[in-house]
Formats: sequence, C-alpha cells, structure tokens
Amino acid sequence: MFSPSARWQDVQIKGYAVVPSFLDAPEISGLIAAFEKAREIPRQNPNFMGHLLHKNRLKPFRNKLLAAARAASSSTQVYDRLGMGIYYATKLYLKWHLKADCLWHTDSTIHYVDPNYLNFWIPLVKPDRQRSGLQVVGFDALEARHPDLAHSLRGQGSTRVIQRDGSTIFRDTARRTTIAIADPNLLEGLAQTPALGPGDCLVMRNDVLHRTQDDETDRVAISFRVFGSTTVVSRQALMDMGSAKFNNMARVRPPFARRFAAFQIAGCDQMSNVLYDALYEEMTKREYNLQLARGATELDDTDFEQLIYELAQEYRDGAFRGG
Amino acid sequence: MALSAGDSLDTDLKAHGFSVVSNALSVAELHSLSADFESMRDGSRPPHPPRFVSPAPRQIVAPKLKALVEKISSPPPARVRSGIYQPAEQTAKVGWRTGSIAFFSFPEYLNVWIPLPSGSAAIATISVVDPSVLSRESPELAEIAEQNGSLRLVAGEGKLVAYDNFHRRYVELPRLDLDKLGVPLTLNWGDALIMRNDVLHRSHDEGGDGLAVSFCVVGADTVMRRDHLLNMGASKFRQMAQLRARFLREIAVFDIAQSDHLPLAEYDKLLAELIKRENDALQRLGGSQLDYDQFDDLVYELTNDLRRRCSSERLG
Repeated sequence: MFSPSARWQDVQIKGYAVVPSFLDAPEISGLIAAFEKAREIPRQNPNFMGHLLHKNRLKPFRNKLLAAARAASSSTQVYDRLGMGIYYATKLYLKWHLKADCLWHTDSTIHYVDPNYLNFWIPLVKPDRQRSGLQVVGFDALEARHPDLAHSLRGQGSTRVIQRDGSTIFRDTARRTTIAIADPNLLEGLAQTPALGPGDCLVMRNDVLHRTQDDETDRVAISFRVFGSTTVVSRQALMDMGSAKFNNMARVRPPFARRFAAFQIAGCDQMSNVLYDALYEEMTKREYNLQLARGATELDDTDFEQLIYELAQEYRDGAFRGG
Repeated sequence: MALSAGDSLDTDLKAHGFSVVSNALSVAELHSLSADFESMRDGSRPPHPPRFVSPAPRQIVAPKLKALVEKISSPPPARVRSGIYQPAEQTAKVGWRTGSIAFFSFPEYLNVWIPLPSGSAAIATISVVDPSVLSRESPELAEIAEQNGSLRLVAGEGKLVAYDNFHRRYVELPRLDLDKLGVPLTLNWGDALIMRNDVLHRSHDEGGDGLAVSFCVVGADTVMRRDHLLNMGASKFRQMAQLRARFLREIAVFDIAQSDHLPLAEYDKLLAELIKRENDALQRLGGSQLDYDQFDDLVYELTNDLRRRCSSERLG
C-alpha cells in the first residue's frame, strides 16, 4: 500500500527512500505472470536486456504510483506521469550488461529522452533480503564527503563510473564531462544496500548513483518510471552527444530515430515531454503498420522520410496536438 | 562534357558542377570492384547492409582517383575516402537528390561516381542538374541545394517537396520537372562522373540490377567539425546508427582530441590510432566488436595518452 508514513522527504534529501510492502501479494504474482509472458516475446535488440511491461498492464498501478510520486515531489519538481515498467532479472542479464549494471552508474537511455524521473524499483522474486538488490549512494553522504562532486551530479544522469590509477572517474555521457576523484573506493565507502524483500520499494531519483549488488540469486524486479509533465525537451539536448551517448542510442536505433523525428513532425526545436511522447507513440504505431504492409522488419530510408513528412503535414493540420 | 584526364576538369566543374572523365579505370579494376561487392552481397564476408561500405575500393583505385582529382585541387592534394557500393535497387527509388552519407562527415567534397559492370545493364545512365541552370529555373531550390549534400526531392500533387535533411525541414516548392532540367549522361564502363556534393542527380535504372561505386574526395585542407557531424535529424541519425562502428569512431576522435575542430590530417591520425587500439583490444579480449564499456574505456585511455603526450611536448 501507499505509505503515508514513509520518509518521502528522503527522496529530496538523499535522493532515495525505502517503502516497505509497497506492492501486495496479488500485485506481485500478477506482475510475475506478466513477466513470464513478456519473456516469450523475442526482443528486437538482443543487447537490451529489459523486458517491458505492456502499457495496458500499467493501469492498475497508476494511482498508487502517482500518489507515491506526488508525495516524493518537491515544489520545483513534480512527478505526475507514469511512463513505463521495465523488468530486470539477474538470470537474464547478458554478460556485458551484467558487468555494466554491477558498476556504479546512473541510467542513460531514458535520461537522454527525459532527464527528470523517479525510479520505483521493486523486487518481485527475491530469495534473500540481503542479496541481489541495489546499492545506492545517497546525496547526503556524497555531499558531506565531496560537495563539489555532489553539486556536479545533482540533477544529472547517464554517468558511468570507473576506477583507474587510484581514482574514481565519473564520465557523464550526456554532458561529455569527466571528473576524477583521487580515491578508488570512494563510492564503496558511501554506499548503502537497503535490505528488500518482494514487494518492498526502493524509490530513487534518476541522478542517484546505483549498481546491482550481485547476480548470485535468481532475482526478478520491476522498475516503474514516473516522469513530470512540465519538462521541456529540446532537440539540442538530444543531439548533443559524444561517442558514448551515440553508442548507447545507436544500439537501440529505432526508438531514438523516432525521438528525432518528433521534432521534425512538430517543426520545432523544443516541446513539452507530453507532446514528445504523443508524437513518438504515433510515429511508432505508423511505422509498425507500414512495416507490416511492406512485409519488412525495418522501413527503408525513403519510406521512413516519407512517413515523417506525412505526419508533419497531419500535425500542421491539427492532428494529435493534445498528447 | 566528356573529358579525358588531361583536360581541364577545373573549368568544367566550376562552370557546371560536374564532369565526366573517360577511361578513368581499367577493365581489371572494374572487375575487382564488382567482385568485392559480390563478396559483400553474398555474405561471404561481413557486410554492412543496407550500406555497402568497403575499404577495398579505396585500396584498388585510390591512387588513380587521387591523381585525377589533384588536377582540380592541387595544391593541396586531395584525399580519397572509402567507397560505397550503390546497387540500383536501392538508389533508383531515392530519385532526385544531392550528396551521400559522406556529407555527414564532410561539408564539402567531390563525389566520384563510377558504374560497374554487373547484372544485365549494357551501359550506365545518370542525370545531373547543372547548378547554373537550376539557379535560372528555380532560384528557391537552387538556394536550398547550395552546399547542401543532404537533400531529397519528391514530387507531390502540384508541388515539389524538398526533404532537407541537413536543416531538418520540408520545403514545399512549385512543381518543377527536374527530368526536363537534368542532363542525361551515358557512361561507358571505366568512365567516371565527378560532381560537387551539392549537385542534384538521379540514376535511371529503376527496377534494374545495375551497380555503381561512389567515392568521396576531400581536400587535404579540410577542417573536420563536430557540429557538422552531429547536426542531425531522424534520417541522419538512423543512417549513422546503421553504420554505428564507423560513426562511433568519427565522434570518438573529437572526444579524444577534446576539440570541436580538427584539421583533416590530425583527425585521420587519431582515427588510425583509435582503429589500431581497437583492433589490439579485440585481439586481447576476443569478440568481433568492443562492448559499450570497453569502447568508452578505450576513448578514455586515448584521451589521457594524448593529453600526456601534449604536456610532455610542451615541456620538451
């Protein structure tokens, strides 16, 4: 249940909070059943290990998640749009993805699309409360130790952390900045590992550094992402990239091509994230239908460009403005 | 407009934006290129569908093309970049256009288009629009096309739509019969069409099985710019992502240099170093390509190495 007594203010102070028993037993078993079904669908991109919860299955969780997100919101950042649910299962990790998830990081792919969101990470199957969870670094601890670093990381995302030559290196793949701190175990000394069982929720802001604790047990979790509805997204932010961001986006090419297309359809360089998502959904639907009609797995350049132009004309004539 | 290699290409290119060079390649060279393409198409070596980019064309004919193009741009000498094979089944559908993928990297270059004997075609045909004619007949389109190597034109009902990928816009123009404005060229095997990257052109054999190879030739005084490479809309992103390994390296060079502008020579040097280190890492780690973290580690290491090298040179 939504917990009014949970320390929601911790989301502002530390960047994360723990909400015990956020999901009940029927909700957990329903999500596990949906996960088993999602696993049967072949993934378009084998590099991407996440299985998405079907949009229709988000609805039963909407009120609970939005109530919690409101409680965790601040006066300057309100989270009020349920975006997606992604499953993460330790036994389904591809080798390199496991390696990446076990390193300190903040999430990249979603950050490139919308840089402000809450991550409701909830284990569904977790044999041991002390193992295979998430480790996090709170901003309170980071601030006390390295205020400049905390200041630089606050509100950001898509950061990769590596250890080299006695230092901890923070590589922000969106802003193309690198910060080195001369302490190879900096984050280990600050990390917390909340003990979580099935249904417990770790809610954290997108700028909180985290990593998978281990893959030693067979753990399945769902991660709901709740965004704000006042965020303005820009083409420049999407386009501003170095090699790491390009690599990340190119791995999951079709969704990002559609994100670029949204700006062309609307004929502008900035828009609300609500409209951005609406145009993206429409482009996805039309592209899928056209692929079916063509009997192809991917549109060729000519059809793809033609589709964007048609949608741009429809948009100009007043279609799908509301989002 | 047919010239032999000894004639003044310079004048012709300046006046018309294009020129045809007779007997630019030998029969043996043409067959080597066709065979290279077939080995990509039949899958006997890793292809890059739907983009048939291969280093082989450059290895086979680069010195010859370089000597040819140097006649127009010397000094400084020109550089020939990798060739892209263009099967007619892909290109004919595109219709009237400017430029190619090379424009993603280079704002200015010469496109050397060479038909290859393949399939049933006895000769190769292509049409080009002289920019001076375009300026006269459609100043608006001429203005859009000028220095724009990322344009595609589609005839609509009573209008012509310019898909301007570089400026990420769609411009609707009055109807214009480009087929009437265009100069149809017939090339014999071994002939080469050299055109500026902003010259409108289209190949003819829609539904045919013809084949051509296209080279991008850039001046050695070219300055590579991050903002040009990363100025993109949906189609450019999509095409760059299809050639992820290539463009990943091109972007990484700017990361390593920590600069947004690089002279071509310096850029090429860093690119070669990156490729060498990448190959070394692949041999050490196994696999056919570096994963996300491994590639970023490599970029980080090269950045540091370059910084150290620059510091020691300054001190020295």
